[in-house]
Amino acid sequence: MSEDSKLKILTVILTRGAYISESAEIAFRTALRAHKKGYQVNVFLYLDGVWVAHIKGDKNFNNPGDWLKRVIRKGINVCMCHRCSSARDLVDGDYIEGVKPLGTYELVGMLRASDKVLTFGG
Amino acid sequence: MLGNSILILCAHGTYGHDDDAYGAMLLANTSLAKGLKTTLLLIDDGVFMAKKDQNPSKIGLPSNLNEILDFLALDGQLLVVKDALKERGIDEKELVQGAGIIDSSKIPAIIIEHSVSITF
Repeated sequence: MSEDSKLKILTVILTRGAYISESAEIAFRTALRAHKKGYQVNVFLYLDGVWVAHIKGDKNFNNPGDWLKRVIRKGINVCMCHRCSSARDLVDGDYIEGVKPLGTYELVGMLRASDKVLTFGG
Repeated sequence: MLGNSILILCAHGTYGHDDDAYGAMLLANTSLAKGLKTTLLLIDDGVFMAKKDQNPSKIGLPSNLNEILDFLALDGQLLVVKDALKERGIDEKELVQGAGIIDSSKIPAIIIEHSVSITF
């Protein structure tokens, strides 16, 4: 495989939870669009971003959890900070299936392997 | 693939957004431990993190001073924006030893010289 034909890697970091801003939706839409455009995409939920993984139920209003499920269904690699989720008592069974708890050590490895990194928070 | 340098911009200090401040420090020190050239750039309220002798435990908040000192001991580059200090009435002498003071006009060049920038 030539250098040009290798998939470009995008890592999206989300540091804000749901509903406080539109960061979660924009991060997941960006991930989906990049995936569609041929990027290999990682999504990393950091700090309050881990709360989005907690939104498992149906809602009759905007649902960032649904966006996250869409991202996972597309085969995008979704991870969350293990330390951040433990601090919030977000334990196995509480969060959407397919989200992988990882440490910041792995996040730095992910960043190093990426061609682009985008942070959504603020 | 990105190179081996990372810039962490922190616009929130220990006071008010302590999780952002701690999250920035956690990532900064992990990045150094993984061998990346790491710069922590404190902007806006982030400059409060570099104050020496602070004790936020008096108001029930954790201090990130130990993490800052670890960062400097591991050869991390700590930069603090001069204008942000001035606006908050903080004298350069109040900062931890090893903090570099920069003018805000230098920020774009610093961003460009790093492979990746992450903002907290």
